[in-house]
Amino acid sequence: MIVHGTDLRPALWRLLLLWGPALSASAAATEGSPAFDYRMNCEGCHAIGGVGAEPHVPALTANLAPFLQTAQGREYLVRVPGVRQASISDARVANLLNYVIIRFGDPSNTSNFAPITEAEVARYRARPYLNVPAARQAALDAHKANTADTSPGAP
Amino acid sequence: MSRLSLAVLAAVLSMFPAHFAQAEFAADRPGSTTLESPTPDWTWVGGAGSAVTLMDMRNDRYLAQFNNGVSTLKLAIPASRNEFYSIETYMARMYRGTRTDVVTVRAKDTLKPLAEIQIPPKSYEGMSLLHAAGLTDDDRFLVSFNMTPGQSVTVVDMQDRAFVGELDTTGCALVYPTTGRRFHMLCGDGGLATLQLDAAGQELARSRTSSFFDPQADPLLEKGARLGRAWYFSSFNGWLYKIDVADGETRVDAPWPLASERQRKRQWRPGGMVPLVTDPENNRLLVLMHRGGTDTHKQGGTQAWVFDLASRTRQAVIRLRQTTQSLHLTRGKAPLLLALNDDGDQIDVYDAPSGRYRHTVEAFGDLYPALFHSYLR
Repeated sequence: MIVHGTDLRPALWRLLLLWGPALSASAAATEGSPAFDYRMNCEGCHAIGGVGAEPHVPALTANLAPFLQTAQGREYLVRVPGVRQASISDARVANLLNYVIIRFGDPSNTSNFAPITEAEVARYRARPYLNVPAARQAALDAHKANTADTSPGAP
Repeated sequence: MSRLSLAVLAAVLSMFPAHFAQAEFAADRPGSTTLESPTPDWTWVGGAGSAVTLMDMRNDRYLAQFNNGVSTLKLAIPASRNEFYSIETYMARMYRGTRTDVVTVRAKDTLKPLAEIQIPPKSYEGMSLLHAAGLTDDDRFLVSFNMTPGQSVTVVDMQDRAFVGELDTTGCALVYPTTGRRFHMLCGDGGLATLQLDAAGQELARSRTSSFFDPQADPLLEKGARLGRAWYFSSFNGWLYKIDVADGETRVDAPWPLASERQRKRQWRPGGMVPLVTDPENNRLLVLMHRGGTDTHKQGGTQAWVFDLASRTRQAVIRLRQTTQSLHLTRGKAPLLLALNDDGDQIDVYDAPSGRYRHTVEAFGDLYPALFHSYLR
């Protein structure tokens, strides 16, 4: 997979090798693992299995794909307060996000994504959003524009 | 006593009219009454038990009571109108069924509901917290914190008695009003958001401070206390932060420790449901302190430490008669210190700040009391 001119397939495979065992349903949430970090930082609201509590808490099972393909969307995933404010390192945030995407996302939409990197987390995390719904909408709009650009027949 | 003696005694007693033997019993007459001549010691007590009770704390006198549905106490008392506001939740079948949230406007002197403003059914429910809602300083807008667990605030125009709207505040919680239609919110990154409303109750400005405390190493107790424009917060380990607004900007002073190094070694730290209260007359802060290890911030206090805020020095220690969960200071020149005990069934009343014990108030109606509000503002 090529994103911004970089072939990310090796990184994705490394990720799967590293966290593959943790993605199985029976994996233990040992301290420091993404499963542990999900339980400690996300599950309280997004619930077991990432099903959320619509309309108040987005379901992670269906909503992530549109954020993965644009820089703006990836920035949103890092800067959304629940992620940004989690008291874990940048590397663990990156692992946690990738875990959530692979574990809960729809494979038909998320199987071909470029993993979120520690560098991306470090770059985006420092600044809080003042208006989260507006940032979310902007990220979705960017995805829409991106999809239109790459659709057959687009200029 | 022989049978004969008992018979004689009974005969003698029967010669007296009944009213000599017992006090006259006046029947209650149905009707309504009006609360008159309030004093600064009149105080609302409530929590999670639905019964909100007004007591004259100086004279241990029960005055009035109303029911606030199935919600924890969320009360706001304007200075400029003879009414007060209670944010209430009702379920169609008491504890189940369709949820309705309302702001009930009640007359201050009769407690009669004057109006009801329906708001989105999502106002915060959880531990009783003084900061779940707040009025802007001009009494115009009531701001109510929502947690679904998505975080937002509901804005209600109390002058026009109308729902204005909802502002998303994801990542930041609770409501701490300050000058100029502003209110602060505590954020999960250890910073503070400040929102300002315009004359129509719409968002005029929003800002964020940088992180000033570490939510993992030494989190802030969300139970703050206000004095003038400023808010005071203590961390779990007893570092006091002052939040102020100057030239339209939110400022956070460098914190100072409530306990000396020696006291910290002896594990003195703040805790309880309402651990901080301010004394505006004397520019003082009272803090509920206990001895306990890390993460004992919900433990009740055994002492109230009295600090002079100008010199940042401890002026006095009030040794409480029993372990206390919530403090309150009544208003006026001779305020009382109220101390709700751990079991929630007694309120010890002290002269403040001398700390002289006066009496204990019992039977104030609520099963799970936690919070006090002064009747007068």
